[in-house]
Amino acid sequence: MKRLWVFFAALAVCTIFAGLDEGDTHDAAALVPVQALVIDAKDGTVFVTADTGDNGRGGNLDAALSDLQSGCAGALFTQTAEHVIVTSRAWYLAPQVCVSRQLRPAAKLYRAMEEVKEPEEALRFLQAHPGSLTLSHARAALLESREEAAPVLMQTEGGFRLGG
Amino acid sequence: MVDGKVLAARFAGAADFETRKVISGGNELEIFFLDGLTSSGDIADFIVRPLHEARQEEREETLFMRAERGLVWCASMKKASSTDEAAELLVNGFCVILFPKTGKALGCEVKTGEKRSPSAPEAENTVKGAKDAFTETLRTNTSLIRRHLRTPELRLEESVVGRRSLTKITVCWVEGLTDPELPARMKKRLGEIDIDGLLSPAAVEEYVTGSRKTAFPLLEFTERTDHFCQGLLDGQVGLLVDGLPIGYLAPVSFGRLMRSPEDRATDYLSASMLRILRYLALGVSLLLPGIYAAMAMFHQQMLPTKLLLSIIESKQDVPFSTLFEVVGLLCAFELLQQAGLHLPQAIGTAVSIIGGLVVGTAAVDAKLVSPAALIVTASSGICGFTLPNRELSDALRLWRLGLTVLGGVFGLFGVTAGLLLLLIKLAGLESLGRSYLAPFGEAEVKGALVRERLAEQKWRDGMLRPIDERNQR
Repeated sequence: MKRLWVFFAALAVCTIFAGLDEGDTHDAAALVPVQALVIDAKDGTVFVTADTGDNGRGGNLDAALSDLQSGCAGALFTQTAEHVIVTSRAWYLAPQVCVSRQLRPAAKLYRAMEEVKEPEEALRFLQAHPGSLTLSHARAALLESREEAAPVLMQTEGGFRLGG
Repeated sequence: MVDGKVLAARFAGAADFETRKVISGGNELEIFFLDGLTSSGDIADFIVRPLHEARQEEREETLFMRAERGLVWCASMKKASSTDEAAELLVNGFCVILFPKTGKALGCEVKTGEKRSPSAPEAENTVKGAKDAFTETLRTNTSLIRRHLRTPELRLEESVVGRRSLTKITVCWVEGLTDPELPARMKKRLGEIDIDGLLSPAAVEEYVTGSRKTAFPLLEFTERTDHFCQGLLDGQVGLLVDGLPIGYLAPVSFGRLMRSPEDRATDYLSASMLRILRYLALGVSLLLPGIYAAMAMFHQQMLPTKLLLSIIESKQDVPFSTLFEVVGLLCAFELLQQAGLHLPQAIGTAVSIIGGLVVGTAAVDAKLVSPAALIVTASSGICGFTLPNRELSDALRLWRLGLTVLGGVFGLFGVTAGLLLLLIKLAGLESLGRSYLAPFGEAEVKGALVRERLAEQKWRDGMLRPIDERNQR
């Protein structure tokens, strides 16, 4: 019995020092899953749009993602994003996207030549025709200082096309 | 000296206490017996008739000697030198013949044949194994053991426990095989018991194991005589209690509790695969609800995307948190089991079906619980039923609930901490002086996880430290 109390005391101390009680955890039911993210930039402002219809903006990528989450009704969960589309204007943000902790490393990275106005449509297309470059591969290429070409997402009259 | 009046006074008011006077050899003798425990026909044919037919007058002392040496026809005869001894003989199915002038008494065994015959085990199903399960009668049980183990070295030492119940207990071991420390420890523990009655299995288990504060079984119980005898041959010490249709084996370890008697009924490959599956089921049963609660509440990023999307979708409109859902379902599962256990079989089956299928389905349709939580809880429960030992399964159910709460409150950190606590607890347990985690502590994992071919099992379990370590040449 004494060992049990010692164990619980140690557990409580570890919990306090580990700072586990951050208060920002959410039950799965409260999550709003994102499946596709579109990252754009204009005049120094970064715009992030999710396939759920939510959007955010900020001076940098992290600020834009924070704005996206705070503006959503519910807990927006970007870790479920499978497809990350970065427009040409915002391509300078690609290295930050690759190392962002808010995105799953297995998410696929695309480069869009134009602004993507309908992320839901893009998502439908990409689910059927996924690319091959993941954020983890892109990150590895960055670290090894080699070039890795991202698939290019182009909008056509009938829909989308993936090239490159 | 046996006093008839005192003996009758001891049983005053007992409707089954019978007395009969018989004239034998010119002496008036008194016969006492308890109706129901004895066979009236046998008393009449083998006790009263021979005594009555001894018409030649003789001294009571001589008559006593003749009765002791064959006048009375019974296979087992005991002398009672005091009224207490005579009373004890009466309650054990003996008929007591009192010779009042000399104050001596003879007890003749005339037990009734009305007792339950050995039948197939109810809780431990067997396909190919022996179907003679233990009964409530101690002597029947010892005879069943003798049929399986015909060695003269089989020791069956009887003692009486319980001031009022006077329950007979037999300690069984094989001389020259079992470590002598084990039966000595068992007998010492039995000798230390000083209670009114030893009637329930819990009383036996708690007192014999030293009333440890643990839900984990420190004694293995079995209905099967073949399993019991195999345990004796492995070097364990056995315990039979009059009135209980089970046999106990000790010492026991976690590895032994995870073995099923049916492992020896199939080939070693199938048995090994089933054992590994059993350990996996143990892990799933213990950890799945806790890990699910932790993942769904804290570590969603660890789940595959499609699975997470499926869980999120299934939890839409469910008003309760994942922890509340899972704990509620675990409690509902336990309640269903208890309801099925205490109801008559026909109703119990119907209740289980209604509770499991109808209520479960209705709860999901009403969006009170999510299908994912229901599947997790049901899978965990079913995996728990694959464990061969019911008490081990019950103990792990308690820990499953605890780990679920820890997972729901602290995430995977809580589950890990709970698991470590469980390991610490198990490592500290001992059964009759042997470590509970013995096979794993000594890295004898191979014998615990995988069943070797019988031809290769030349050595007995080292944990039991048998005198004769070799079980085949």
